[in-house]
Amino acid sequence: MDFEHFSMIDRVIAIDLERKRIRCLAQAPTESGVYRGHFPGYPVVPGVLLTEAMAQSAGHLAVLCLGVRSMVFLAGIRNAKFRRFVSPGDPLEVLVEITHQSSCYLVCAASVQRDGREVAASELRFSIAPFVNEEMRSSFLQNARRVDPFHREAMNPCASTTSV
Amino acid sequence: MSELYRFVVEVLEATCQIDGSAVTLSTNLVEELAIDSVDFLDVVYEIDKKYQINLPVEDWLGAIGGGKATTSDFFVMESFLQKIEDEIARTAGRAKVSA
Repeated sequence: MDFEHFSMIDRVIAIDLERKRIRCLAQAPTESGVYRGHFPGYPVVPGVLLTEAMAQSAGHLAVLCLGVRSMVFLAGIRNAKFRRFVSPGDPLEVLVEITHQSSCYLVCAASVQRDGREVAASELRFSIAPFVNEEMRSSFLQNARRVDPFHREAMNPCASTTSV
Repeated sequence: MSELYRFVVEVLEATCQIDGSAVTLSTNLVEELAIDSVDFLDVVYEIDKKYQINLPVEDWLGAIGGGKATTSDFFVMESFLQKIEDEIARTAGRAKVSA
C-alpha cells in the first residue's frame, strides 16, 4: 500500500473472471505521514483507506470483467465494518466478489483479511461508464501491468485464470 | 395497486427518502422527484434483486441520449412499471426456453 500515491494494491494474487473474484495483497506501509494524525502515538491504518483498498481491488476486477472497455466509479458503500485495528507493516489480503452486475452498475462483496481473519468488510456499488479519456484507460493498463501478473491472461477470454 | 407498484414505492421511500404518498402513476421519477443517478442505481438494484432481472437502464439512457426517447418513456411511474413487467416476462420466457 502506498498511501501517498493512493495506490492500495501491491499485487494481485489470484483472479477468476468466470466466478468474478479477486484476491490481492496489500501490505500496510511501515511509515507514512498518515500515521502522524491517525493516531498520535498509536498508528492505525484508517478504515477509509481499507475501504479504498477494497474499492481498488473491486475496480481492477470489474474493469477486467468488462474487457477494459469501460471504467467503474464508486457509487455507494454499504454495511462497512471495521472489526480490528490494522497496524503499520501488517500484511493484508483483499477479497472481492462481484455479486450482481447489470448494464450500468455492479455490486461487490468485499473484505480485508489478516492471517485469514476479517478486519474489514463492506458492500460496494459501482456505476459503469465509458473511460473518460484514453489517458485513464492507459493508466489502468499501466497499473495492471504493475500489480497484476495475470492481467494479460485475464484480458484474453480464451485463457484460463487462477482460482480464487 | 399492484404488488409491483407497492414494492417500487417502498424502495423509493427507503432509498431516496421520498414521501410515497406523493408518487402517482403519472409521476416522473427523474424530473419531478429529482432522483439522481446514484439513488436510481440503488432503486434499480433493489428491483433487479427482488425479481431476478437486469433492467437494461444503459439502453434506456442511450435511447434518451440519442434522441430516440424521452425520460417520460422510461421514468414516468406508469412507464417504469411497464418496463419492469416487460423485463420480468422476458426473463421468465428465457428461463422457460432454457429449461
